[in-house]
Amino acid sequence: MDKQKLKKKSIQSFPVTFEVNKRKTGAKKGRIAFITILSILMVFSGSLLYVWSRLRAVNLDYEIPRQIQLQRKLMQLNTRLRLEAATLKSHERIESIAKGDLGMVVPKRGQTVVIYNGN
Amino acid sequence: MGIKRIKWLRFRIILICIVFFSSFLAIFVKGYQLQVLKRDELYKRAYMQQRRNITQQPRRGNIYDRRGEILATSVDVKSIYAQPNRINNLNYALVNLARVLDTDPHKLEKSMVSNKSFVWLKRKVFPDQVEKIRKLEIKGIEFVLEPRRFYPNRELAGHLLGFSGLDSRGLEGIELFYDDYLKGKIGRFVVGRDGVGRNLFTEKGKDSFFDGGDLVLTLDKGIQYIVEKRLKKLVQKTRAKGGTVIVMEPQTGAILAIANQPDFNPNTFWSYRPSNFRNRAVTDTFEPGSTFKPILFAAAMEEGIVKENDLFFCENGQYEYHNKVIHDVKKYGWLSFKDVAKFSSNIGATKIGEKLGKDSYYIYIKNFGFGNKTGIDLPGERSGQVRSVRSWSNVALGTASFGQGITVTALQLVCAVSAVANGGNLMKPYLVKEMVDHKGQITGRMYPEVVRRVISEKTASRVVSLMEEVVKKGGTGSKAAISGYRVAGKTGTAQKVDTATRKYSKDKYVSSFVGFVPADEPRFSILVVIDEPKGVPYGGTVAAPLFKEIASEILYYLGIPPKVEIVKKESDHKLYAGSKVGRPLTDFVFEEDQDWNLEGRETLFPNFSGMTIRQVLKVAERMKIVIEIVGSGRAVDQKPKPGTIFEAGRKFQVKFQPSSA
Repeated sequence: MDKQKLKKKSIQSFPVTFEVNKRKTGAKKGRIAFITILSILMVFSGSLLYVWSRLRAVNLDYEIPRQIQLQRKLMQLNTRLRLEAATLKSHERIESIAKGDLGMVVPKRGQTVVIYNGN
Repeated sequence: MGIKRIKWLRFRIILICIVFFSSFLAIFVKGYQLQVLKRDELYKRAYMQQRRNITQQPRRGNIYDRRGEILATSVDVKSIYAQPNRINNLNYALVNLARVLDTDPHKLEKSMVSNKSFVWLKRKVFPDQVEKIRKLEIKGIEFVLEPRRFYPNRELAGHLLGFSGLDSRGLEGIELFYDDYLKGKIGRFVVGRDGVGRNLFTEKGKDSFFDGGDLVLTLDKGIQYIVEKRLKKLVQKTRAKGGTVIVMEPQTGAILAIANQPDFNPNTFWSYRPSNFRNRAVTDTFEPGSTFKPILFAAAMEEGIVKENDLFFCENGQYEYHNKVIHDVKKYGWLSFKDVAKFSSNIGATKIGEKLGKDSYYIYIKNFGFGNKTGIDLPGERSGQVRSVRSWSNVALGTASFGQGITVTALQLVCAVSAVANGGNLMKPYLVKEMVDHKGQITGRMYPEVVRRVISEKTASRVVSLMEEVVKKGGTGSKAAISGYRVAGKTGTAQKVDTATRKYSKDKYVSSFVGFVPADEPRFSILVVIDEPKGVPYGGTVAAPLFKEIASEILYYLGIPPKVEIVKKESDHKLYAGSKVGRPLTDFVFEEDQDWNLEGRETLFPNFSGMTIRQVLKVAERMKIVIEIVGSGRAVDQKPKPGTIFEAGRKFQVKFQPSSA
C-alpha cells in the first residue's frame, strides 16, 4: 500500500525533479569545466615554472663559473696591486728617494722633540 | 567496388600498424641495446664528455710583519709548455723561443724532439716574456697559470722568510717551518661542461680544497731594515767573514729582527751559494767569549759568593792556572768585582768562577738555556755544546768563566741576556705572532712563554748595574753608550779554533756585543756578532759601535724619548719658579741639564712669549705637559697667563704668530 502511494507521488513530482536535476547538472558541468581549466592552467603554469626554474638553474650553472672566474681575476689583481704597493713601500727604495732625490737627512739630536702624550 | 575499397583501407591500416609496430620494436630494441646492454660503456663515455677534471692549486698564504706589511706573497704568473707534435715549423720555433727565453737552442731541441706530448719550456716567467712568445704565434706553444712567490723587500729578512721552490713547497726558513700551514690543500674536482666546452658549476669535491693560511710575524720590517743596512755596512768595512744581529723584546721573547751576512735575495735564490741561505743566528755556534760573563756574574751574585766591592787580584795580566796561562788585554792589579765586569778581566772572571765552583756554574749555564735548543719556530736550530760537568778538565772552569770552551748560538746568548734584562725570566723566543686561516679567522696566537726563572729580580737588577758600568766611560763597551739613555751591555772578543791546527787561532776572532736599552726599562735587547773582522778585533771597537748605531736608530724609530739626567740643584726650584716667570723668554736657550719636571712641585707657569714652537715643545716635553699649539711663528699669547700656579691636568694653550705679522 505504502509502496504504491510512494510510486504515485514520485511520478507526480517527476517534472519538478527533472528540472532541478537539469539545473544541477548544468552547475556541475560548469564546475567540472572550471576545475578542468584550472587544472590545465595549474599544470601548464607548473610546467612553465618548472621549465623556468630549470632554465634559471642552467643559466646559473653558467653564471657561477663566470663569476668565480671574475672573482679570481679581481683577487689576482688585488694581490698584484698589494705586491706593487709593498715593493714601492720598501724602506730601501724610500730611503734612496728621500736621500738621493729629495736631499733629505736624518734629523740630528735636538732637531726632534718628543711631545709628551699625557700618559 | 565498395568491398575493394574496404579491403584496400584495411590493408593500409594493417600496413601502418606493421610500420608503427616494427618502428616501435626497432626503437625498443635499440633502447634496450643502449640502455641495458651498452649502459655502462655509454654512461662512461657520456660522463667523460660532460665532465672535466679540474685541479685547483691553492693560494700559498702571505707572510706579514707585526705591522701588517707584506713580506711574502704569491701571484699567478704564466708557465710556458710545448706540445711538440703540434708544432709545424720546429726550426723557427726553436730559434725564436731560445732567443726570448734566453736559453740554449740545442737544449730546447733535445727536449722538443723527444716523444713526449708535453714539455715544460720555462716555468713562472715574467709577463714581458709571455707577451713576446705570444707574438711569435707558434702553434703548439701554450701557457698555464701557476702561483709564483714574491718577496717585495728583496733581501730583507731573507734568512728568516726562506723561500719556496717551483712546486710552491717551502725550502728554507719560515716557508719551510710553516709549510703545512702556508701551502693549503690542493683541490681535485669534477666540473660539468656543455657541448661547446663551457664549464658548468659544481660543488662536488670542493670541500677538500682550501687556500693556505697567512702568518703574522713578530718581526718589525723597519727594525729589520735598520739592522740589515748597518750590519752590511760594517761587514763590508771590516772585511769580516760574516755577521749576525738579533733584536729581541726581553719581556716577551718576541724576535724583532734577525740579520745575517752574507745575505741573499729569496726572489732569485738559485743564483746564490747554498751557504748564503744559512740563518747563522740559529744554525751556527761559536765560543762567545766575554759576552758570556754576565751569566757568570749572575750565578755568582745569585749564590751570594760575591759583592760589588769584593776585590780580586788580577795578577798583572798573566795568571798561571792549571799549567795554562790566562791573559788579560791590559795589566790589572787589584780590581773590584764591579771593575772586573767593567774592564772585562779574564783573570778576575776565572777567580770568580773558582769561587763559584764548576757544579754550581754548570747548573746556571744549563738553566740559562745553553746546551739546549731554544725551541724557536725556525728550522735547523742547533743546541751548542756544553759538555757535562763530569768531563770538565781542571782548566775548563777557568775558560768557561770567560766564555771559551763552550759553544752557543747567537739566539741562546741573546735569550740569556734578555733574562737578565727582564728581571730573571728566561723567555722562549718566537717569531710567529698570529696564524690566520683562509677565511680570515685567527686560528693560532702565540703568547710569551716563560721557560723558567733563572735568577731573582734583585740579582738581575745588580747584573744590569754591572753591565751599565761596562758601557760607561772607561768600560770596554763605552762606544755603545747612547746620549740620553741608560745602556747596559757586555763586550766579547773570542778566539776561534783553527780547524787545521785544532788550536786557538791568533788572528781569527769573533767580536761581539750584547746589551739592552733603556737599562732601567728595557724595550729591546741586541746581540751583535762579527765573524773574523780584519784589523782590530775587539768587541768594544767593532761590535759596540754597531750596537750604538742600531740601538739609536731603533729608539728613534720606536719614538722612545731620551731621559735627561736630572741634576739636582738647590737653586733649581727657585730658578724655575722665580726667574723665568714673568720675564719674556725671547733669548731662551735650552739647557740640557735643567730640570723642568714639575712632578710633585708647586710652581708657576712660565712665560713663553717670543719662543718658537720647537722651544715651547721642548719645555713641554721636559715639564711633561701637553700644550695645544695655535698658529705658527713665535709665541704671542698663552693660557694660563704667566705666573699662574701650575695645576696638573689643566689645559695649556700657546698662540703663535709669524714674526712679520
